[in-house]
Amino acid sequence: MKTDNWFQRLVRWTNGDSKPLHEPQAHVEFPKKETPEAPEAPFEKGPSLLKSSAGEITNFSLMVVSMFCCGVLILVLLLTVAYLPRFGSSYNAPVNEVSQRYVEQGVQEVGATNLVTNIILVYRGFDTYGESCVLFLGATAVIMLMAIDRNNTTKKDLEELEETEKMESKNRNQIIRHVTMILMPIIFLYGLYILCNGHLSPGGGFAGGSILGGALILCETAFGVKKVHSFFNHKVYHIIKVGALILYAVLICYTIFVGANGLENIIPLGKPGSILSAGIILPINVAVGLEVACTMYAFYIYFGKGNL
Amino acid sequence: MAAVIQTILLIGLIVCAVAANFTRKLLPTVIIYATFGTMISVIWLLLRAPDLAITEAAVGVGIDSILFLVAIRRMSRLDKTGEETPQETAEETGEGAAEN
Repeated sequence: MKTDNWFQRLVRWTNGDSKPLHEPQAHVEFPKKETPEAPEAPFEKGPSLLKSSAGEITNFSLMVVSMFCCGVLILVLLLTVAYLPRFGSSYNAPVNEVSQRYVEQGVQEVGATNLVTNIILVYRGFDTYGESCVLFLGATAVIMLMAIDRNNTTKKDLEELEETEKMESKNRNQIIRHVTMILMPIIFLYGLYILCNGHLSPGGGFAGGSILGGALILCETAFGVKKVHSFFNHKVYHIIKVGALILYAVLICYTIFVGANGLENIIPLGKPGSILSAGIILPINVAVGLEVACTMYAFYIYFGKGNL
Repeated sequence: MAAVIQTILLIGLIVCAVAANFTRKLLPTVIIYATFGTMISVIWLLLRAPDLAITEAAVGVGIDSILFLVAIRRMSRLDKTGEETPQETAEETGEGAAEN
């Protein structure tokens, strides 16, 4: 058995080999090769049986070890839970201090009347930035797996896709089309409202963005890919996705830098309650919303068609 | 009144969660899952968490169900292409046997 280095194994794995990590595969395959020979020579049955039982023993010991690990993990987690402070008791002071500060000074410090948005976008803005990065990575992984390119498709597949596309455009449902024509502007408006009013009322980037993404998906279902493609193609998608993430990163880095060094923040906070207030929250909400909408639509289109 | 509605919704949640596991077909499972999402978004609203309610209604009910449905459609397409060939061969062999 030839031994190849980790890079060749990685290449084999990306090409679809299911067992790239089994370099000691020789041990696994050995009894398999033995078993066909066993019927020819009956007296060799003993050793082969022994070998198979040895394989079973390793499997069994693996199972025992994994169960032991699981048990230890469960025990550790339960012990951690036992040492947590009791919910609502008076002496877990740090939690109370933080929440009190958020409630009392959140509006003055950050400027948004919706305290939830204050917390998730400014006080805990770094976490939310991580979530946006997770969305970005998820969309990238879906594109890597699902996109149609010359490596994973043949001409026949493409022809079949075109045929189904033609059939779908012929048999497109009239009811869905007319209902979508009426509902589409309302849904878009509602999504934009939730997106831009995230600092004043419940909602914000994630909710508004997913509503916008749902509206795009509805548009695709009713009118076909080509109609959506006319205003939302590959280029626009990539520009919006990367641009929104960079805008978010710049804003949150600026805020963290200014806050940590005690400098004066040049972004005006505005009057609490008006639409142009709350400093960085409005642009961050718009960025997150665009990112989420793009990601949702990309998930849908790559799962369904494999091409944007 | 709100307490009664909340109790009904909570019982419905448990029923939906169990039913989604025990349903054999995939399409009803997705519909039950969407029902679960709708109920829990109303519960978030009753618990005074409107942010969560909006997000759950948009993501949990809308986008998730759509993605599941697309995946099911893709799977059924694969199933069809996988099944057609053995069926055809079986029919051909059956006809051949009848002719013989």
